[in-house]
Amino acid sequence: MNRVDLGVITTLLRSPRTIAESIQRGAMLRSIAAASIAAILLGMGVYGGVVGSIRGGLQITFAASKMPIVALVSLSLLAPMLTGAASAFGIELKFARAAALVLASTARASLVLLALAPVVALFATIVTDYHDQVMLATIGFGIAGLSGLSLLWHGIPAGAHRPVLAAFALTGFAIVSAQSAWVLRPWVTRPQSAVTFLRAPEGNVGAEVVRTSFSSGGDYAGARAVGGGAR
Amino acid sequence: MTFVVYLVVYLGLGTLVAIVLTRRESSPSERVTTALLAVVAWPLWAPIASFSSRDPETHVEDDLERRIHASLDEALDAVRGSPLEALLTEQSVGAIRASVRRAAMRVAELTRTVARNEAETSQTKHRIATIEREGGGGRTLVTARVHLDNLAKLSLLLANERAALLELADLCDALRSQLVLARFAGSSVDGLADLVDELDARVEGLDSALATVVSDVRAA
Repeated sequence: MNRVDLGVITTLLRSPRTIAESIQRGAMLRSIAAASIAAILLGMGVYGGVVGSIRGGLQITFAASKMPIVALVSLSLLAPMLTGAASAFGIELKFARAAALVLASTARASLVLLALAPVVALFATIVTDYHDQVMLATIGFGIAGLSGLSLLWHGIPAGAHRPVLAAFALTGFAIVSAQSAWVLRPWVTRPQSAVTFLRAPEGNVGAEVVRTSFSSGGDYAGARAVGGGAR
Repeated sequence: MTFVVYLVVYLGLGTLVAIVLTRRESSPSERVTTALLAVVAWPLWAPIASFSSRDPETHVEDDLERRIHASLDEALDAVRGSPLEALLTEQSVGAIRASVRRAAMRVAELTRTVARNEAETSQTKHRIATIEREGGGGRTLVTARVHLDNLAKLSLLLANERAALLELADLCDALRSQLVLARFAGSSVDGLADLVDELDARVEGLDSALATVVSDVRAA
């Protein structure tokens, strides 16, 4: 059965362990994957729209359409990485199960993002500083990520290598999604920058993190020395 | 390459994957869902759709249903053009098929419900134990016990329904082999009419059992 099962979505929120156990047994993978993809498109799309609404106008549509892309592209790269890493550690994690696991984990995070979207939208009207608004959107991702992490943890077969594999998956997802998000920027868009669907390719997310840390601390000379562009 | 080129290549590959995967789907709604999922997320959906079985919890019913249909096909072939044709008509087989389809769908739905309730069952047991340990009781305890009973009843109903489908599949196999034997033996075989009668009774029982399942599930 492929249709999006609302029961799976409810279980994702209420009982992630049940979903994780299903994935480990290889049960209902199609239903879980179908519901997860739908949840990611909805949750990430709405949260993207909220992030874009900080600038407003066309940026709402741009951010709403790009955020699910970042998630799905990152997961497409993460699933084979996770399967390979599991194999290297001697853990049997078939590709279909790894794909379902990363999809379900991200789907849970996406549903939490969906729930947080109105809160972030409200606070974004109260907090007026650009850097604070960016931080606000990031906190939302942090909270959502934690909710997805529990499902990922339980979905990895138990054993001595479970923490290592979970850390590998988390690090891999963080790096891949950060770079994907960097390639598909802008998201919030600085007040003085023009609204555009994509910025010209430049630098990488690592350099931008360093530059932004200078910029947010008021050290604009340091930020210029590092180089890079606006979000 | 620009973003647009990447997007066109991605969607183009997704369309190809969708064409391949939709051919395997039986119902139009599943074809549409598979096509959409394949176009949007083919790197993730394609391996899941290709290499994972259909929901393992429900594939038992799918396999039984296929087995019953295959037996009925062979049984019909065996009686076609023979004096036994009146015993098993296309019309009666059509009715059996419809009942089996309904039964398999309900069992699949029940399977998913029971699977979703697994965690709830352990939570409810834990809650009851906590209430009893703390010396509580009254209405909260009664409600929790009723809930646990309902969850257990659902599991029992599922087991019964599966058993009924399995018995029907065995009966169809027996009917098929008896009809094939009758065809090659060139004469009627003892007990054939009894088998057909029993098959009718089982199918009727399947439908009435389904009605019970539906009302019980709703009540739960």
